Amino acid sequence: MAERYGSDGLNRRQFLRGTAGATLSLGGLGCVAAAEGGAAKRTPTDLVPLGKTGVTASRLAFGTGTRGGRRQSNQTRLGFAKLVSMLRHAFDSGISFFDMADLYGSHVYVREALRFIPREKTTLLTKVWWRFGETPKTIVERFCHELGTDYIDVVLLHCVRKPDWFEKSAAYRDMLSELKEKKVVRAVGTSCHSLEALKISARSPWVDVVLARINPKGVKMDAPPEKVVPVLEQMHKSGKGVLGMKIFGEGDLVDMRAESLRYVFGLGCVDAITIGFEAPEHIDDTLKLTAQAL
Amino acid sequence: MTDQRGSDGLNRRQFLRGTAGAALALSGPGAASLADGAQASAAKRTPTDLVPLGKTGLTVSRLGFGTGMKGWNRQSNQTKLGFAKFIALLRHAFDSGVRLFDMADLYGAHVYVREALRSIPREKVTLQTKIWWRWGESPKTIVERFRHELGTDYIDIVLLHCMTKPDWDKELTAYMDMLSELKAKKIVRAIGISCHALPALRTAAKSPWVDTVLARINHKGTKMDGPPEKVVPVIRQLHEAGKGVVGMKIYGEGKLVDERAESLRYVLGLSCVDAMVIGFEAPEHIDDALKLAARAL
Repeated sequence: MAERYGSDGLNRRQFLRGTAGATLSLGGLGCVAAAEGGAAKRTPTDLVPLGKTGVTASRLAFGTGTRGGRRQSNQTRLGFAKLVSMLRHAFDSGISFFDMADLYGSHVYVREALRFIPREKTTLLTKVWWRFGETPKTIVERFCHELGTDYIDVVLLHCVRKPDWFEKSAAYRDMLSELKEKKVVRAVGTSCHSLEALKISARSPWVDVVLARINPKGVKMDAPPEKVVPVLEQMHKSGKGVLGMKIFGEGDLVDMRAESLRYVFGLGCVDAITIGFEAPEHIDDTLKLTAQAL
Repeated sequence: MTDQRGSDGLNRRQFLRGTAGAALALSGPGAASLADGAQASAAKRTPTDLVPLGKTGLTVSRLGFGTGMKGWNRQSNQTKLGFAKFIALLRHAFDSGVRLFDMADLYGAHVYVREALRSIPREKVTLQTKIWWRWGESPKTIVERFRHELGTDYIDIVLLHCMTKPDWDKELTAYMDMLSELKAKKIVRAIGISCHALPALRTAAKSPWVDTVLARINHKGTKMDGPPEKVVPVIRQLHEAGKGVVGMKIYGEGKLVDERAESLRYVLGLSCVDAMVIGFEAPEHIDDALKLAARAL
């Protein structure tokens, strides 16, 4: 599999070079200068700013919640040995952005990986499953314990969907705002599962970062790309961090990974994306395809 | 190590036979009959016997695995070993016959035990955990979270963690009611407290809500709720009331590590303590405790 994409990759890169300039300004701290043009070539492991949050993250994030529910996911079900070694493999490959959620039960696995990975070299994102109904004040303290950290870079309200999510989540939002003030949390926002919820997030000054579903086919998205992308652009312009998920359409687009990565990174309004890796080869493959797509 | 225990054990066993009779009534379903039992026809007690935990209906191995040495902020010496060592340790304990696993939200050990349960059959073990109510999490979400973290539908024992006040049963009614409700639904099998002060233990002895307790006990009174002569009568009262009694701080949080044999002999000899938990941090600790407990029985 990997080899097939290897030979294809060179051609792709040459093919794409012409269009890369338009999005070069997005290149972050980790950019390496290209030998030929003196212009920086974007890489999948660049550290990019998440909007105007002040938080930076690698362009690729490790998603730990494929089929997540009841504090388990495909990733946690791999077991400690496999998942922790994959997290380390990702970090060693330049992926330092870890996307978690209470719902996925992946915090303690990342804590174990952080025995070997320096905390300050990572960006940790997690999400509050507020439907569990846990007292707001105890949630993030628990996350910090589970992660063995004093601060969390990004905490999102998980899976906002209904038009009234903003009003309904007031207690949780207030708690997150307070923790942001105390610098226990660096940025707050939502992961979105409907276009309406996404639009409300776009308008809300409370939202620093959104996690939105995006791919070229509209598969498992909030709406077709032509309806979603303008909202993402609006958020990007207003300085919010925009993170993409469902890049491979929850697996439905696995045969058009290259196209999907090219599409999302070509949009110019998506800062970083998260992919649910389930094997080391998935990491290698995505890094390669992303390098080609950039 | 095992061999040594084997040869040594026989002498001990012969030596102890005279005193074993008194406590034989405690032997549970798991008690193995002696190889040479034909002559004595009496069952020899072992550290891995499955014994009834008071009148809870639960059985536990006499020796349990404590996962909370210096437990705080959802970490403990056990979790700090890292998943590879910690899970191997849990597995070694199970393979050695230990069937009681003592956890707490405070120790952050649930997910590690969930991982160990990938290869240990859930129904063969007794899972005990505890609620750190001081954090103030709403009662209704706690046990569901524990079940997720443990990957189990039911938890054998849930205790309110670290009771010190005599009126805990008035202060913590919200948590007590929640646990009673879950017990009625059979999501939790037995409920009670872990105790860190004698007045709180006395309250437990009188409380019909309490099915089982975790109490500090050793021969020296080290890190206990009081001197043994004051604590043991309360434990006896609990035992006589049909409550399960599990002992902790058998090695006085490490201070009695040079008197392990003596402490084990003392606690196992009390006859009002059903089982005990020890915070193992290395496989040798498990082997050692099993050997010493076998001699003490």
